[in-house]
Amino acid sequence: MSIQAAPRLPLKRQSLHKTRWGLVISIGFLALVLIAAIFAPLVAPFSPAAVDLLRVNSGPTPQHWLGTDALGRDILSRMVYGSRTALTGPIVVVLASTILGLLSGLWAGWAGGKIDAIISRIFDIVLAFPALLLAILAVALFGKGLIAPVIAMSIAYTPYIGRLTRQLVATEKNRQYVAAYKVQGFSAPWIATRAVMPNVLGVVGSQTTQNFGYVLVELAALSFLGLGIQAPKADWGNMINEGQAALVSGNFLPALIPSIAVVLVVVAVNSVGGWLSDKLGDPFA
Amino acid sequence: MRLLDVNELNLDIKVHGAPTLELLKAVSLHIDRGETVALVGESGSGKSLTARAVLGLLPSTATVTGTIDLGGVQVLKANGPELRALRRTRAAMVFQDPRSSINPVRTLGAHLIEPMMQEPGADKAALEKRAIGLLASMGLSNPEARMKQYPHELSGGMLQRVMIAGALMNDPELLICDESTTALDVTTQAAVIELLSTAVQERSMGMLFITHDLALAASIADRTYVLRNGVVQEHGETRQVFEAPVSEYTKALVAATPSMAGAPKTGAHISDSSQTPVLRVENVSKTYYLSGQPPVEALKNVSLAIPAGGGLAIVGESGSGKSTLGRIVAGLEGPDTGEMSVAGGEITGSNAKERRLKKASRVQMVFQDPYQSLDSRLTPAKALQTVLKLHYKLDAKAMNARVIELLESVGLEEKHANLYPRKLSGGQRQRVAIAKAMALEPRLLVLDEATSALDVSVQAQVLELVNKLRREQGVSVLFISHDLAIVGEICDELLVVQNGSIVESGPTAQVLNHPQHPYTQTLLASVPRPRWETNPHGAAEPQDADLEPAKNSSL
Repeated sequence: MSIQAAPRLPLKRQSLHKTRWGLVISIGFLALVLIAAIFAPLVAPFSPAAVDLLRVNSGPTPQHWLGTDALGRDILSRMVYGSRTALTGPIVVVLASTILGLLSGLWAGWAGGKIDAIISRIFDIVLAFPALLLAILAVALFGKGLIAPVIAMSIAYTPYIGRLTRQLVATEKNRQYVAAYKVQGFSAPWIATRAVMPNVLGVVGSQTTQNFGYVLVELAALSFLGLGIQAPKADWGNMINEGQAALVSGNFLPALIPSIAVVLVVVAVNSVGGWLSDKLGDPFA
Repeated sequence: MRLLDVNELNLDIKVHGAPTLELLKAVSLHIDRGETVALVGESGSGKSLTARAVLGLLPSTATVTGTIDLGGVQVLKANGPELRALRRTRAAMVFQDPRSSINPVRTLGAHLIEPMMQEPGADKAALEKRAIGLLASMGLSNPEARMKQYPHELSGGMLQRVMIAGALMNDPELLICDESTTALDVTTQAAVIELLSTAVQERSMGMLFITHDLALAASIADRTYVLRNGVVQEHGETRQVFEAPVSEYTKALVAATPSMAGAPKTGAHISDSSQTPVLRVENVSKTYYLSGQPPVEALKNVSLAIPAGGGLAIVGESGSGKSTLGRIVAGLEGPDTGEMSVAGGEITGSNAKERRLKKASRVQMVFQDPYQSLDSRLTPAKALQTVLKLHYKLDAKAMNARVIELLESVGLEEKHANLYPRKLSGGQRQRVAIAKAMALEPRLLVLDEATSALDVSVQAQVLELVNKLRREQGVSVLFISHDLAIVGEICDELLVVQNGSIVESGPTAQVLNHPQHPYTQTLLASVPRPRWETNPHGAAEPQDADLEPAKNSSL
């Protein structure tokens, strides 16, 4: 009865405090990638498509900091331009699937009964298909590029957010504060969206950032397979694919650089996302 | 002979980035064999920490100084294996909520026997026999069959008996009960207290009985320690602590503890029966259908009325249907059959929103747990503004004035207006909840166990506040409670419900002093009474008559 009073709050501070340096590095790195993506023409030293046939597979030089690929294109410039597609895809997918998932999950969890059963079964059906498979199917139907796979992935990732939201809302709606709102004359849609929704956003937020990582990797995989962004447009995934050829001739940079970038962005997003959802879920700590 | 000797126990919790919390300061206490000692205090007083320290169950962030001697073992110096042996053989603990301290997927038999199987050379058959014997001695029918049952098949009271049987399996010298009866109904509590006293006497164990309830301590303990903010305020023979407290804090605590002795205090008598009743409930029934279970008749043909300005208490144990009644009155649920009207007349309106708002302005509700009934994202000011905005058209200035007026009417100050609920104490939170309800100037206020999650001194203040609102604003009150000892403080009429039916009703004083129905008599007899009072309805004068009223700073 009395033991709960003391150590609850400080423990959380402590864990945040411990990892703060990692957080700072992650935020810094993401900011760097974002700036590069937005101001790509200003940041990139060369055009991503400019071919320098005299310096093929060159390795790092004062001109080409990260070297050149098999066609003599500047890797740094291609990385900078590639970050645009690498980030746009996941951002759109995460935004779309989060909005869809929040709305459908809220509806299912709040309404319960038949509506809940129907929405939940739809979630189950979508979950039965791997996201990558749906994306490949979309490419087969609508052609290569970014748009078809992004729409497919948005649908494929909706149930992850939706199921979580549904479960959180179903628990939350039985809490006393919801009954208190009802007694005061607030309408059900108001309570669901204005009172319950903010209270589940923290947990949903952490799922969202996890999804960002998965989507980034899967879209890169799609592009690696040649089904996503098409050459000569730069994308991290097709850069890894094209870099394979250079591996044979002993130049590992064209494949390694984009691979490292994918890993670092995913790690950084998860670390910032974890911190953000702590803040969102518990903004008054 | 000394069984437990705690000497000058200090406990600090130091967490990175936060000031050191001094949770226990020079706590000394001792227990002899065959003696029951109560440790009384409000939440945050350190009573549970003290108990945990005795078993060496402290968080790793704690710094401890002092000594704890349990039957010759220095607990604070003992290592892991020594502590485990100590807990296996010397001491046992019974926790507050049996349902959350027992593994739901194991049988009760496994719960009882498994810890003892850790002992080298344990004999399973002998242990089973012993467990069955203990279950029988706990008053559980059919103990052999119980061994194969799962926790969900038993009620909370039965489960707590199993927990006590489990604690006695190792024949401990010291039994620690940490709020062991707090989650139980009053009749069940009386039975469990009886069992515990018997067990202590028969086995000449020592018992450390931790509770927030001074009256409960008085009913079981030989000696009592009063703890506040980690400091022992007072200790001595229980009767002496209860009847002639020395420290100011104990005096306040005794005064705030509701007493059944003597004539019950009654709340404001301001009901006006000439007007239409503020609430009329006629032949209301409600049945719940749960899949795979027999239907539960929560309410059977219940009728009642509250005159304008009146105060009606509904008392019953868990499952009696009292909360269902409150929810129906507040409009959270509809009755299956029967009629109900609040403030006279049908609720009419051209659309759903209008009807909803009209209903809300007639009846408001305050819930049990202020830690759950407030939206943790809204400060009191924001919460009040949200409600006011829905119901009234106020400009910014009028809104601000109204918010402050409401906060002041429940005894809060302007400085509380912009604090998030987690920065407020339980009592302050419940005041905010009451302010929110009163913002709509309702005719009827439903209070569903609105004080049972609060400390006694805070409870006394909240009850006082409700009385003030009744006097000054003429609001009628439907007070739902399990606690017979407090209903007299605010209600002039009393209903006793059992299994969905009203078994007795009448003026509070009359029902409490001359209960007619056997169930009411059982309830009254179960209210904890000091051990030294043999005659429950005797003419014992209330001991707190000459004491200061509660002036506790925790609010």
